[in-house]
Amino acid sequence: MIEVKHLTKSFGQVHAVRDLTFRVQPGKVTGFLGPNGAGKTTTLRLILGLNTPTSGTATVGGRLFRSLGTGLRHAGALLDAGDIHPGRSGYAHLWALARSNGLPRRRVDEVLAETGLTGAARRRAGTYSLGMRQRLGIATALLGDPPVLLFDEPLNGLDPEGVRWIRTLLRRLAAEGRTVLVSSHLMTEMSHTADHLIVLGRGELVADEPLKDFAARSATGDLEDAFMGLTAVSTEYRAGGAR
Amino acid sequence: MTAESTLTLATRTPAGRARMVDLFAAEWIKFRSLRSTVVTLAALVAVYFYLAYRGAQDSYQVWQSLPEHLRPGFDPAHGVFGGPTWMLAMIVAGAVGAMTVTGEHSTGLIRATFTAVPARRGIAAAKCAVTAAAMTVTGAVIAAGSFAINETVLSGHHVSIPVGGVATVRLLAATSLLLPLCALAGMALGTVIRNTPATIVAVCVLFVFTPFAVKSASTRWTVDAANAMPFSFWARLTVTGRGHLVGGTESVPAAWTALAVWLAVSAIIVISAMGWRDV
Repeated sequence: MIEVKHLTKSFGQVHAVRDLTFRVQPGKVTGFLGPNGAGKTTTLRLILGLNTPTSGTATVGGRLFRSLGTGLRHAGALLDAGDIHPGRSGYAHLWALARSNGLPRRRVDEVLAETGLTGAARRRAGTYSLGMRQRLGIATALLGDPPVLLFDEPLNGLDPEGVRWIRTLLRRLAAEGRTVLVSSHLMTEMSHTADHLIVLGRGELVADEPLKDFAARSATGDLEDAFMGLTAVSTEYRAGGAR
Repeated sequence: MTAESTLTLATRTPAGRARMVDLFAAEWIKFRSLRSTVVTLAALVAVYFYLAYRGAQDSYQVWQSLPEHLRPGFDPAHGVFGGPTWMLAMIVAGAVGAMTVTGEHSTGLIRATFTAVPARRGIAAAKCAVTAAAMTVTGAVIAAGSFAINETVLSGHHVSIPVGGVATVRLLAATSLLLPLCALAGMALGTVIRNTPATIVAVCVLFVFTPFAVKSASTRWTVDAANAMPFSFWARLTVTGRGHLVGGTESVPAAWTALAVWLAVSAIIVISAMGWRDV
């Protein structure tokens, strides 16, 4: 379980996240939604201890993530598919991370097979397509067989087959009793995958409810309509300058 | 793609603290798996073996031109282990060290590293230790090889050089340690600056520009400061001749102390700065 309490993060005068409180429950896929600049990525980084909160706390399995020595065993994360050194092979990337957590080499082969990268594992990651880097990021997240998984825009760059694979994977991870938090801009995809939604707008919590309740907010019962209606006032960047 | 799970909880140690030995191993995998690093260090060794050969030949020319009564004071190692050519090794070592840190920041890998090992001090210490160890081995290869080349060339011309002795051991040890020192200083700059080009500029300024700038203003304080710079104390530790030293030259213990302080301070900066900053 992920638990966020009164979490605030300011960069100078800018409040990236303000007084956020929510829980992400195990056994479900929780969609993490919000317009660009709403604070989704910042929240994920705060949960993972990559950024230090200005105030408030975020815990994973009841513990501050920063206090853990073997993070891969507690949470797996795909933050940005580019978080790889382009000069290193996919295999070396995974093996170094696995080794840091005392995981055996066999785990690397398993996650490579799981993500369909076995054939490309010895190539330098700089030669990978966006979709392959995305798969490598997911392989990284799965390395430690963690009870908690966080995915930031996992569908970026994936082809339809890859999208379907992610959807199946997320459902399966939740069915295994894991806590799964997935940020995405793709409303239709979320409506296929998520059980529960947490919605941010301008760094604040806008909604935290089951998917069907959220969709019911719009007259049409459509997730996208509900999202647009709810976040209309909190969208920071919009084409055409309309507010 | 397998539809069913191949995932099993397969672990060697219980979840919790990372073992230092695992962190060392992980950082070593990272270090050796970048071809550019390995090629750079191999090229550095080759360049210094060539420079040693040229330096030894120049040494012989100098020796030949010396009047007989000055020859006993001749330092046979100075032609190889001395002079500004060694600043190239310092800059390369500094850059390699810096890029073990800035390479992770610029690619975003640092986030994967710290997600895997959230308690950061251990991984920072492992990174320092692995980089320092690899650079010490490289430094030792360069030092021993250069010494052997110098010895071979000079003895071929019947110039006797003392192979054993404290001064020789000191020269080899100081030259072996020059590279890890510069690498750790580069890492420290990289940890603070986080940007590769800016860090490499800082490495050049620190190792090349600063000693000359400080030395040009010759007061008691600036002489001490110049002596505390890596190139100066390394040069002091590589003196093997019996010639007279100019005034203001530091003692050998002072030079060793400066070297130890540089190593320690650099490692402390890396471990503490990496420990708390947002990434």
